[in-house]
Amino acid sequence: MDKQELLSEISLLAAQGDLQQEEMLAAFRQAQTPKTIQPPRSRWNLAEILYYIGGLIVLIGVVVLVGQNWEVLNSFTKIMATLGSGIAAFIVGTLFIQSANTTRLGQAFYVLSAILNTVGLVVTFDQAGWQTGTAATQSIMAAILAGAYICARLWLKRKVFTAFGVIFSTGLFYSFMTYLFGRDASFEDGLKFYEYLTLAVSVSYLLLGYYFSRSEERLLTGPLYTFGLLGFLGASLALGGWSPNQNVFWELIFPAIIFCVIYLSIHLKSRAFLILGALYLMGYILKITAEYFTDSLGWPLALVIVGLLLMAIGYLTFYLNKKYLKRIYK
Amino acid sequence: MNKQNISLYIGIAIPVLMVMFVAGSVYLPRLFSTPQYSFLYATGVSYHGPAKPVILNRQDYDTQERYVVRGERLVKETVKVPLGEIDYTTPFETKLYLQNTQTNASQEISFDEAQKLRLNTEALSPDGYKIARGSGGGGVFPFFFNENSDFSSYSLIGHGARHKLNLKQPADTQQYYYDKITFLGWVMP
Repeated sequence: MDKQELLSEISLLAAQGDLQQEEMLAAFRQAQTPKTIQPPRSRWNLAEILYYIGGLIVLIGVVVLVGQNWEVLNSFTKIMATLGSGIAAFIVGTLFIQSANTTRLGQAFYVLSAILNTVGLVVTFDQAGWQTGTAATQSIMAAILAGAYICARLWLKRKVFTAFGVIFSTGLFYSFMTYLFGRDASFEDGLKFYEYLTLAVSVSYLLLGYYFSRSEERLLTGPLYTFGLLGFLGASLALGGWSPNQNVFWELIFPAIIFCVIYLSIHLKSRAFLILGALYLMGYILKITAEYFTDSLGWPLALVIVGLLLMAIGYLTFYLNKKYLKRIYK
Repeated sequence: MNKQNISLYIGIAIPVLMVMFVAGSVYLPRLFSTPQYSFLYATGVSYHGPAKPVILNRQDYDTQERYVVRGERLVKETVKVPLGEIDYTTPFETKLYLQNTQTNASQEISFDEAQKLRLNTEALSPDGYKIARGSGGGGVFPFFFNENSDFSSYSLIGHGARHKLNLKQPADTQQYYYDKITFLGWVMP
């Protein structure tokens, strides 16, 4: 049907009263607005890649320079070469980010400054006579860095500082909990302790990812979802243990967690949920088969069943992706 | 408070609540648990001391003194040891200390004063505490911190609480491979 025939048909329907003006306008408006919500894409070009490679080379140069001359340099020089360089990189990044043409370059300097500031803080505490390997000292360093970057986020209002704030806050959480762990008589199993910590941090990441998905910082949502899922599903699987010391609660609840994750992939329209959910489901099936069925079924039959199940999961993942997610990620 | 902000608040609240919970489980038991029993310990005791005396002939042995508890009383035993088995690298004089667990302070006492004490040699005190070496158990890669391998520190553990002990220890690092502290017994009333 060409345009002229279509217009004639519309006129006929309007004359018969089967089509109203409002319906026509609503259809026209719907065609104007985008049907799918396109997730923001960070476009990398060659220049940006070179910025980060250059920053990495600068970082390696500073670390090697200080490392090779560690015995020769005095305390002031060591601190200036590391922490001083980090602060200088931060200032340079702030200057570059003012201009739209050099925003990405400024962000590269911010990343460089974050790493140099971390190294510089370790050097500073070391030169001040502190034991940098203890949980107490590392908690203090992480608190300084997390506080600094959260303040930078609030003051300079740059989204890149949110990522650093999350990273250093995570470091603070783990180091401070390790400090507390060393003072408690009731936590005997260190591995289980860290599994529960990872579970808590991962849930936080997922919730933060959801919050950022509806804000201007939606670029952080992907990494937060990915690391959150890796931690949450990994910790849940690890908490299940291994026969004969397995934890029946976590082994039984894990499939329910997986199916919730796969359901959320549709609701949140996140491919990370779908792919990681499928991968961990495969891992769970392999684990359970190796734990409980190899003695009864025998390895060959167990492998056949596992293989078929993995193929089914793969097809389910493909089907869900095609039906619900593909048009979003076009 | 809209739905979107709720996820932010809960996301931040979860780790904060976890920190508060763990901190509470560490520090609250200490407020309600107080060790009651002092204990006697010795420093400068060689780890390589002989387990039982061996006599070869009168010219081939030497004597070594050690402290043991017999019948709830501290006694000094002299054992004969083949010359090759005596550890002459331990230059320390053995000292006896009484640790007051309520004030967390050690006081050096003489052998005669220690003999007057009635001692319980069980590892667990009558009020349910035991002495542990090192300041913490656990830590997994990459979270190994120096504190968890601090074998020169001792703590009193019991009833869900850990109390770090201020003990008198030999300062020389040569003693690293020896038991710096030798527990002798809980002081009974």
